[in-house]
Amino acid sequence: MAGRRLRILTVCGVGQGSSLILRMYVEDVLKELGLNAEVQVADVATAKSTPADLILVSPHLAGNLSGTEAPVCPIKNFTSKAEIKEALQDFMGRNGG
Amino acid sequence: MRNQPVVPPEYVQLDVPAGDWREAIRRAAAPLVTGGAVTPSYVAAMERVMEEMGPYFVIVPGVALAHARPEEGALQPALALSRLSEPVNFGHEDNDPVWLVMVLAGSSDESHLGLLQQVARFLGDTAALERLRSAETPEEAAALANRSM
Repeated sequence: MAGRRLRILTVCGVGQGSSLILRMYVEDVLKELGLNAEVQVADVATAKSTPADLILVSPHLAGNLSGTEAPVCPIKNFTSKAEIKEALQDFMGRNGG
Repeated sequence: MRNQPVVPPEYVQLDVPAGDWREAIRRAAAPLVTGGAVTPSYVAAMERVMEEMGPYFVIVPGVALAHARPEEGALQPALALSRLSEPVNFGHEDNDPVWLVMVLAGSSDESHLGLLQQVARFLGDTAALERLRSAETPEEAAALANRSM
C-alpha cells in the first residue's frame, strides 16, 4: 500500500455509536504513532463492501466479517489506547510499515 | 456544542435492580421515554440489536452503551445513565459483568457527534467511572459525568 493513505474501518452493529467512539480513539492513537490514515465507520452489513486495509471491531462481530479482504482485528476495550496501539503496531509490522 | 449538561439528573438512576440484560436496558431507557427523547419502539430496537448481534456494545469493562439506529425512534440526541444495584452479565467474555448501563439516542445526521465525543471521553476516564460507583445522588453522578465530559 505504498504511496497510498492507509484506510482503517471501525465497525459496530449500528455504525453510528460505538464505532464512532472507537474511531475517535483510533485517531488519537494514530496521532501518537505519527501515522497518517483515514478512519471510517461502518455497520457490519456495509463493512464488507467498504474498501479498507484494516478492520477494527468488537470480538462479538468479528465472525460476521469473515471473507473480507482486509484483516479483521478484534478490540475488546474501545477506549484502551494500549490495546489499539498494539493492534495498529502489529498490523504495521506485518505490512512493512 | 451548546453549553448544556450532557446528562441531566433526570436521566440518571442509581442502584437500579435488574435481573437480566433486557431489564437493565429497559430500566435505563425509561427516563428517556418519559422525557420524550426516544419512543418505546427505540427501546425495543435496542433489545433487537442485542438479540441479533450480541453484546458488542459492552465496549469497556463493566459498561454497556446501548443504542439503536436513530430512525428507530430517537427524537433528540440524549444520554441516560443507570448504575445497577447488582452487576448483570450481558454475555461479553471480556467486559462482563456490567454495572453501568448508558443509553444513547443519536440523530440521523451528524448533530450527535459532539455528544458522542463527550461519551467517548467519559468512557475513557477510568477515574471518573470509579467515582461514579460511589456517587450518592443522581445529581452527584450527573455532575461527575458532565465534568468528565
